[in-house]
Amino acid sequence: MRTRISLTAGLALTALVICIGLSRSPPVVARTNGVPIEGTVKAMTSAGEACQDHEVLPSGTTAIRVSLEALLGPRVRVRVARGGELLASGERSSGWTRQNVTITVPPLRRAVSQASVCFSLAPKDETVDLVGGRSSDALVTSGGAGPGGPPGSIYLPQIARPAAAAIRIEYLRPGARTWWSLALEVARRMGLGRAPSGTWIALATMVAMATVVAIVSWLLVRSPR
Amino acid sequence: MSATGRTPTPVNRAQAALCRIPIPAWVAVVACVNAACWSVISPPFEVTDEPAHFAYVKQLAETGRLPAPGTGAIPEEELIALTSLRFFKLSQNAAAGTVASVAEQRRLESAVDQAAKLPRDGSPTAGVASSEPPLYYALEAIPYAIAFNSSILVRLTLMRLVSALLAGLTALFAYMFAREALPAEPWAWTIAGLGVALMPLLGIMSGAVNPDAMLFAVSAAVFYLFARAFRRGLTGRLAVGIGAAIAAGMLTQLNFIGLLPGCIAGLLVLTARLARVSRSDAGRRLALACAIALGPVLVATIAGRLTPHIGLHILTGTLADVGAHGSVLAKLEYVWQLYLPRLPGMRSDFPGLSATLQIWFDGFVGVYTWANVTFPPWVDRVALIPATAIVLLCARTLIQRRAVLRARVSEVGVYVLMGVGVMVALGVLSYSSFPQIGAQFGRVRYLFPMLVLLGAIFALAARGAGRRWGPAGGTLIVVLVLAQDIFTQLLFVSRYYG
Repeated sequence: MRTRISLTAGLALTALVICIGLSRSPPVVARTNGVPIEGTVKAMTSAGEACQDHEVLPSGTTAIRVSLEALLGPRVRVRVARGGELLASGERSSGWTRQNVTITVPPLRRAVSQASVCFSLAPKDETVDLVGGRSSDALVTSGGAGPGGPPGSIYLPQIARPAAAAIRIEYLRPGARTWWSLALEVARRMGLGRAPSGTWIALATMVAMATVVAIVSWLLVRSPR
Repeated sequence: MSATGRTPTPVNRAQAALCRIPIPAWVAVVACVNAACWSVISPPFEVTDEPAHFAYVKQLAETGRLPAPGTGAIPEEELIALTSLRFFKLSQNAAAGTVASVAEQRRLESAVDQAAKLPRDGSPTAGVASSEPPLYYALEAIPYAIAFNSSILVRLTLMRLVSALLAGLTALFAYMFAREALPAEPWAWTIAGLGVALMPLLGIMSGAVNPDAMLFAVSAAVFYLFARAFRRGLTGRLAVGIGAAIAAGMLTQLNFIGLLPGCIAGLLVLTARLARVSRSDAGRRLALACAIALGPVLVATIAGRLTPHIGLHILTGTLADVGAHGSVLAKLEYVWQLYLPRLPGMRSDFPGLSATLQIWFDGFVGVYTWANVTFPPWVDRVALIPATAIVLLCARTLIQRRAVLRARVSEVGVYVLMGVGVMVALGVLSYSSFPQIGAQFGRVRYLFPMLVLLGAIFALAARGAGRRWGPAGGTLIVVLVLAQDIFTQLLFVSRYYG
């Protein structure tokens, strides 16, 4: 009986969390700074700060995704300022990995233009690559560059003229639609880009996972005591 | 007609038939179906290094030869598919998704159908996979050959499904390891088997073209065979089985080397035990196991078929890199800190970072594919609560059964040595690129050759809840892993199809 109760409670809790998750809106990219991802703009091997001017942040921004690349990223602090006034700030602890880091910030009540987005990081040993491409608004950095210049990203080429380059930044905010309302679109998309293809792929996967849950439940209940 | 005089209905007959299927077979089915679901959820080629592993199979199936070491261009057929699948955008841009419209799907189908008509002349190199031994790729060459005339996407789908079968083997051996190593409570074997079967990372890697799938299965088999031999003695059959499993491991992936010190120690302990009864039998069985374990690799090396591919050049090159910088003490400190908190007096190799938590625990909770699919940081912190409870319950069982533990110290020592071997091997390999890269091999999947031990930890934790509450506690552990699996699937869906 205890096994049945814990199984029922566990599955019910899981279902509840899934329902809550699907009732929320996924974050969407509200705006980017339009910088293409072409390669490494700069490689930072010690503590430093990089600022990018003339950024436009949409209202409702709740997270900033910065194109930094490392296998074991250090702590990153981000500041959004205009005319010396701090508009938003956030921090991501160390341990993030690979091509970008998302830093949550308090929601911006209104859109902000001509802002400076500065992020500081303090790599002790591992190189952090700042990733982006050609732009009219070049990245301004202080400190951080390793001796002999940037070695280049593990995955991307070194930008030929880093002085005329900026890093890519994306501004995220909660979308207008919940996952529930997006379910059909998501199912259709799951059925694309593969062979065989079709929306039935998503349905078949759900049925297969439901079968897994059923078998697992049955095994737990019938397991010898 | 039944004993009660009633004729059984078809439903009753079906129920009876299902009940006749043994539990380990069900556990294997769960792992297979779960991995098959993952093979659908992960977009084509999006699991770590999948393009390189596919290229290896292409070379083997189309030319019968192994790829040459070193890097080179991706075969044109694969390049066309990757471009049409938005592969390069997906890996660089977190906001990019997979193919989004029917028109794009038609273009993709047209492109891969055209590409299938290109000359089938293999792939001279296979990137990071080139140095790997060929056993897994030889297995994958079978579905590749079956779907030879189909598009690259159909071939990939079939190959992924074959990998998914290996997940079933891994879970099966996890169940059987628990049955041999923890024989007291049969219900706990199911907890161990299901806990492993539902691991999302097992599903992801086994739902893709990646030799990790076979490595996990072979490593699980090695653990099971040793557990059986420790319980029943080193019989001739077990000597053959252990030798064959070690040979298969060495022919599957280089990472298997980490298990070898434990395997050697295990064979020596088992031989010493047997020698108390019969010295000649002990010697014969040890020789048999060693001959089978080393035979295929030695023969292939002598014949010159495997030399460039066994990865010896990479291994020796990496070891030379490791030897070239830092003192022995610095290396030891690095390997220690890669897994455990820094001790007083040690230089900090991971400043501002807890490697135990942020590399391994957070990685276990959810850092997937090319590490570009992750849960938000708060999930890792919440996951600490059940993880701590599981560790404490497991510790409780071990303390309660310390007398049994003492009696089986050599067996436990062998398992620990296997685990430590894997961890030290990863640490030493990671040190070759340190400090430019903090922990190059700091990925949880590299520890999955020890997956059966995790299953055993689940079983021990469930038993730690006591005789009355144990099965209920074990049920909660399995549901927890199931929830992690489902949440991770939803995470993938949101990342790639949202």
